[in-house]
Amino acid sequence: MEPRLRPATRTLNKIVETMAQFVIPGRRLEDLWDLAQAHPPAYAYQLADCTVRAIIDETERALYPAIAIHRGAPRPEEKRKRLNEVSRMLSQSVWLWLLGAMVYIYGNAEMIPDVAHLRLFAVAVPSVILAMAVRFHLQSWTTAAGVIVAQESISLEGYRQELRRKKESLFLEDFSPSKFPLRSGAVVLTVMLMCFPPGYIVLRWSAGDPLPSGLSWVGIWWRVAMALVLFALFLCIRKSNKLAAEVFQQEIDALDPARIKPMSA
Amino acid sequence: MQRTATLEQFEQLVLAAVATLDDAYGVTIHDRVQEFSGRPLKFGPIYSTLNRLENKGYITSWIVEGTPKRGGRPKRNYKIEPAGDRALRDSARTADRVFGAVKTLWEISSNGTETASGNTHAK
Repeated sequence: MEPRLRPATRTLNKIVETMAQFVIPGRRLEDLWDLAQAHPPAYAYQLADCTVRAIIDETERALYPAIAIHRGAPRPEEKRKRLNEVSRMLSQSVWLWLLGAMVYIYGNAEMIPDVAHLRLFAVAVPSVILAMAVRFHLQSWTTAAGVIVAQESISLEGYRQELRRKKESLFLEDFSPSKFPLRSGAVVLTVMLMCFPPGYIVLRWSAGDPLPSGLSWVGIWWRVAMALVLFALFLCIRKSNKLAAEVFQQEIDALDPARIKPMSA
Repeated sequence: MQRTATLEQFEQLVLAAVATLDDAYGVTIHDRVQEFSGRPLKFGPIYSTLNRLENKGYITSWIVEGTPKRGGRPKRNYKIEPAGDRALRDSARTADRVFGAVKTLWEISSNGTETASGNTHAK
């Protein structure tokens, strides 16, 4: 029941309640009704806290779909479908990221003045690295996709193999220059080349050169922001793949014949 | 024994609350967890934990029509699933073993203190 409150507090509660109803994800609306029923101390604060947490939870689920594979305690067929779906989504996210990075790098190359083959360097080197990434991803993706066929009739061991292949097809490379110097070097070089054009322009400007024609400071900052967004997405995709790998491993372990008890036992 | 993922302490409290309530929804779960922990709690962490447990497949939820007490607004009820029950049992067994070990330690130390104080008085 609503306690006796000062008019200012009541107004604040009403404002926060209305705002929360608009922004909270639909499936968490009942959280607000619970709070309205209990009417705890610091009601407005608790409403805001619940709303922010609900938004964070839903964002996490969207970014890392693997965390919700067991949601609703699904049946084995449903779980299998979800695992396939997650694998497909993660693969698509890698393709989209590669496409975004290519568009960004080629778009930025226009900023660089065409002196001493600098523009060619800014396009050719990332092109080679991205082509390698596309090739590796295509290879792992086709290997994993090839076993989806006839999954209804697949045996337990076949299903385990399928999960193992899917797990191996995930993008899980660790950034470790001592273990994987070539791969880590390629990652560093890609990030550096993504930031190179705007960085180069700023350095030239600080040395007294004017900005290239048709380019403003807004354009430069916009490009820097895009580089940061791409980098954040890269980290996100990596984390998402790592979480998916954990779920795949749990499933592989659960299907281990040594751990499955016979029905008669 | 089938292995389950370990539960955090707060997850144990929330899962135990869901398991022990007949009508488990936000308000009743919050009250029960407060009762278990013995301190006032905010609602936010309870909902985040419920969401996490639901993602792990330990609990499931469904919408129930609202009652006049809630102004006709619907509520989300929760129930524990077999995987959650296994995880809770594992956690309870671990807590029990820890308590057993610590209890023995406390008994030894309290006996030692009593003996020491007895010796001092005798002198």
